Parts: sequence; C-alpha cells; structure tokens
Amino acid sequence: MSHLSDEALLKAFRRYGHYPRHLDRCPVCQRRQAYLIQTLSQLVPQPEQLPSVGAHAILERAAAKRRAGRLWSLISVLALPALLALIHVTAPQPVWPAPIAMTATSLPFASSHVSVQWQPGDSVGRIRTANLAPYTAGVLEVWMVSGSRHVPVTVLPLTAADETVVFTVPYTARFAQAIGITLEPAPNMPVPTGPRIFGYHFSQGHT
Amino acid sequence: MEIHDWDLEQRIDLDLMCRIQKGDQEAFTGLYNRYAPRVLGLTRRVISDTRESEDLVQIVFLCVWQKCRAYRPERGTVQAYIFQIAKSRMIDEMRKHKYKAAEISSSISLENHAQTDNPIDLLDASLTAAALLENLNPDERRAVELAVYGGFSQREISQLLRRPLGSVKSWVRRGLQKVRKSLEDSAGNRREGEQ
Repeated sequence: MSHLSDEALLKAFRRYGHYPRHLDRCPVCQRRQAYLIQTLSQLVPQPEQLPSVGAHAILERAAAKRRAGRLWSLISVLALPALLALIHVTAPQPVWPAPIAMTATSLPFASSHVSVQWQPGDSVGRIRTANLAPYTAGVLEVWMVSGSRHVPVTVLPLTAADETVVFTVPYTARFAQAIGITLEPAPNMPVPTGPRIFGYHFSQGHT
Repeated sequence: MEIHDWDLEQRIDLDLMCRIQKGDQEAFTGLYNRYAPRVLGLTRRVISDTRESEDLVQIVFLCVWQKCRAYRPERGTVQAYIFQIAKSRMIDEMRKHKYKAAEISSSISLENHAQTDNPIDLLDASLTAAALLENLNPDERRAVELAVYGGFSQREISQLLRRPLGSVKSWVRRGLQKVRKSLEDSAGNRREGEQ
C-alpha cells in the first residue's frame, strides 16, 4: 500500500467530498498529515481574525429568516386564493355579441337549436346547443370558412342536453365569412368530409 | 498541538456537529468560536473589504446552522465541511461582486508563531519560520494558505485571485517545496542539537 505524498496530505487537510479514501484507513498517513499540519501552522500560521459579531447574531438571523419563511407560507396559503378570486373578478370578461341562430340544413337535426356568438375579428366565440339528435355515427365539427378554406375550431358533444362551448379562433380565421358545422366520422378532421348540418354566412346574414 | 490533540480536536468538532444537528445552539456557538476567526482570516486573504468579508463569514455560519444535516463524516472532517461552504461562498461572491483580490502584504508578523509553551521550541520554530519566510514570497504564501487551509484547488485559486493557472501552480508547488525544505532543515538542526 503506497502512502500519500506530503503535498497530497497537505492539500487533503480541508477538502470535503474529495477526501482520499486511503487517508481514512491508513494510520501512518493520518499521523503524517497531523504532523505536517502542526508544523506548517508554526511556519505559516493559519490566518485568523476575530469577527465583530458573535454566534448569537447568526442564530437570530436564522430565526428571523425562518419566521419570514413561515409568514410567506401563511400569506401564500391565505392570500393566494383571495388574490386569484380578485383577479378573476377584476379580469376583463369577454363581451359576447348577440347570439345568431344557425339554421339546420339536415333533416335529423331539424328540431335542434344551435346559436353562435362571434363576429369577424373576434379571437373567441361561444356556441350554445340544445336538443341535438343523439347521433352515434360521428361528431359535429365546427369550421370557420373563408372562400373555400375551412379552419376547424371546435367539436360539439352530441347530446340532447343544453351545452355551451367556448372556442378560440386562430389568427388566420379571424375574418372568416361563414361558420359551418359538419357531421364527421371522427373529431379533428383536417378538412370537412361529412354533410353540412348547420351554417351561417356573416356578410349575408343567412345560412 | 500534539498529534493526540489533533484526534481530540476532530472528536470535539464531530461532537459539536452532532449536537448542532439536534438544534443545540450552545454547540453552534462553540463551533463558531472555534472556526469563525479562521474563516474570517482566510476570507480577508481574498476580500479586502472588512464588512464584506464579515458578511461572508455570517453567511457561511448561517449555512452551517441551516445545512448541518448535510454533513457526512465519511466525506471529510467538520472543519473541511465548514471551509467547503466558505470556499463556495467566496467563489460565488467573487463572481457576483467582481471584488478586487485583496492586496497582500510582504511584511509578515511572527507573533502568531507562539503556538508552543516550550521556549526552546518557540525559538526553533521562530528561527525556522523566519528562514522560511525570507524565501517564501507573499504570492506563494497566500497560495499555500488557500490550498492547505482553505481547501481550494489550484484552478479555484486562479479564479479567485484572477491570476493565470500556471502562476498559481508554480506558487503552490514552490511554496510547498520550501515548506518541506524548512521541515527537513528544522529536523536536521534538531538532530544535530541532540547529538
């Protein structure tokens, strides 16, 4: 077993985490290190200077820090829900335009009611449905239509109950001329493939 | 300090740290009184501003108090743990505040050498120290202090003092060589005296 050099022993004196394992097990190196440090400290004394504050100041600082931490925890527990509620109350709510009734263009949906609250330029819209036929062979997909271009915006649940769906309109479809709803075999189709069920043309004011 | 005292010192540190881990404030005061002057002394070797270096010592011991449970005896001694924290904080502070490395004095007092009660040993140590210090220039001395008492690597010393790594390596190597030579001379003189 080779022992550590004097240089390695001196450098290992205050190393934490990179402590040579050999030093842990070797009494010869431990004694040599003790001797080296003892002698070195006589030749090159450890620099020392008395601090102006005592340990109690540090303990007080630690206690103050802990108290501040607790206070912040308390504030976050108590005040955060209140803050969120306040934000919710004071946040500007979207002003919905008047609902426009969309006319059914498909016989099975003749007794259904669909209205849309959106106008060209808006980034969000709202669709209300009532009494939709419980049709199991597909989904209703909503499209914003500009010329021949169809941009999907949302999918409606097929249920007889009253439903309200809020949708966002991509920037490229904010000035769509019409809105249409088709019956699709699966949700999120890239282009409409099924029959048109409802529709409304904004510039002409009809389906 | 005799070699058996060395073991005793380490046992005292370990006992204090175990008590600190249980929240004993008296033990913390004990450890602080033992090591704060040494940490401040070393800090002043790098940061010249008294207030800044005292602040840093407070941060170091605040960290020792708050992170005492992170200490693992198998990774090193208690004092190595304290100086490891001091080392990290010093490097952080140097980076953050871009301190100018403290100017070092070439005049070195021998007052601190009185670490033995035996007047002959004292004379011997002072003579050897005087001989060594004549040869050990301030850069070498500071590099040796930071490497041995601070536990800094040569690369860290280079970052801390903003000096080229090559220069730091030379200072540490030459400084330790001179220390070793002084030790050998001292041992030789002692043997001759005994004969």
